[in-house]
Amino acid sequence: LGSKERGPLTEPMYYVLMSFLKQDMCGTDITQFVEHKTRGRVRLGPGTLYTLLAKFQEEGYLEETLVEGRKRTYRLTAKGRTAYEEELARLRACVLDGEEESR
Amino acid sequence: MSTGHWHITPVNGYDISALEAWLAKNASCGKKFSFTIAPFTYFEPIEPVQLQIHLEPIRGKVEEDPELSDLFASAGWQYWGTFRSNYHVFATEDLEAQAHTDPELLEETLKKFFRQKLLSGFGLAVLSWFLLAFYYGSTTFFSLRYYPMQSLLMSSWVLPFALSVIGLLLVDLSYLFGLVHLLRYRRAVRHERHLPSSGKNQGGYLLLAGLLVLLPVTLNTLSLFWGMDYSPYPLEGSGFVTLQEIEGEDFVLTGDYMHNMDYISHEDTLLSCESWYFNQYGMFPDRKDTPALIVQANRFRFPFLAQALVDEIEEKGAYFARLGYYWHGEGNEFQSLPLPEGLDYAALYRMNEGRMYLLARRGGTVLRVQYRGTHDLTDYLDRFAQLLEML
Repeated sequence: LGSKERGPLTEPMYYVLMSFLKQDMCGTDITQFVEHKTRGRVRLGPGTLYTLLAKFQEEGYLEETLVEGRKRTYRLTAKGRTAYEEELARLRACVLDGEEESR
Repeated sequence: MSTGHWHITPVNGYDISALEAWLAKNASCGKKFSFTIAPFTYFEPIEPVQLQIHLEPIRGKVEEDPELSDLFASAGWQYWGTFRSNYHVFATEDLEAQAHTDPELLEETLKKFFRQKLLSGFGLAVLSWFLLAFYYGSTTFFSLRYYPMQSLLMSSWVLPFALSVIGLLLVDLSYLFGLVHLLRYRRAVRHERHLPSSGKNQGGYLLLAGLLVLLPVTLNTLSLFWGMDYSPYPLEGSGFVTLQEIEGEDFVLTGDYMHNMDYISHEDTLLSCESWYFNQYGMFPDRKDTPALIVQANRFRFPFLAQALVDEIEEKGAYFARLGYYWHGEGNEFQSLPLPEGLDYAALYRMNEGRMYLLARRGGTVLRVQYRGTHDLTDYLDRFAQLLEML
């Protein structure tokens, strides 16, 4: 997942990791962040988000910081940040390649 | 106040799109999914409404996950409960809503779910093996071939074994079809295809049929484990003819407890006929000339089965001596007996060395008496008729 062996992150994965760069987040915050950031282009279904949160925790990209009633808050780990930055670098390279070829 | 409805789940429990369509159809008929018990689903009454249903495969705990419900609720989905420990059920009025927006991730989730179910399938196979092994008794298929009525009707393992094979085959087939449905669904998700539900999947009935066949086997097995099948009672007052009654009061019985029963062995299970057994021997029971008496009775639920057994024994009369350990020999002589009141059939087989075999039937009960001694069993036919009446 996100590592070189596992291939690139999907768009929802990429944006979910991005949502944690500046602050800890809970599920509904993430959905709002992604919708706002992509102006509705990327939609996060509740099933997808739930699966992602579990998966990122399992992979060590996120860790739980707070449980308040039905709400759980998570933060990005160093491993998660690295995965995000690797994906960002890959996307930058893709864009550069595309632009160079278009000139 | 209107009450809920029970329905047999008609579709296979692992055909996700067919299940979602079925639950949505029920909602449009005013039935809201509530919970499941084995192949049955319970619905609560609601106002008929067009809804989209989503089944989220359960990972980990079966109870409602507050975080999951919260995420779905914020997207307009309502949590309805769990379906057979396999899925969380959500419903929304937004027919265009998407619970999953990343097919790659959903495919991965389904892959894990499939693996879980495949492992459970192995568990089911092991359970099947144990149940079949439990009922694969000592009676051989040889006896089933040559004495089908005796083996089928009186053995405590043949019928449960046969029902286990049929029931487990149906349940395992249903499970296998379910795994195939899951694979197809996963493939459709991978290729981002919508898998339409034909609504014709009736795979749920296969599971129901299997469970119905296994139900009597389960009850039978539980009664065996709890020892409910065996209920002996004292010889005194039982009405059984004893060896001393035939040989005389002064006759000395062996002190060996196994060969001198002071009780009547009595067994009754759901899947075998009710049976009684009693034996008495004189001193030195291993000697071939020691007087002995063995009384066996079997009650069948239907008299025609009892008659079928009598017919088989009569037919095999020439080989009758094979039936008992102490009764082998040649020179059997068959004699049909005049019927005392209450008996439907009575016959005597005289064998060499003073051995006799009495066969009698009253309704659904068959009596078999083996005797070795100097007296004549026909003198006690009335007593055996009384015994059959008492059983």
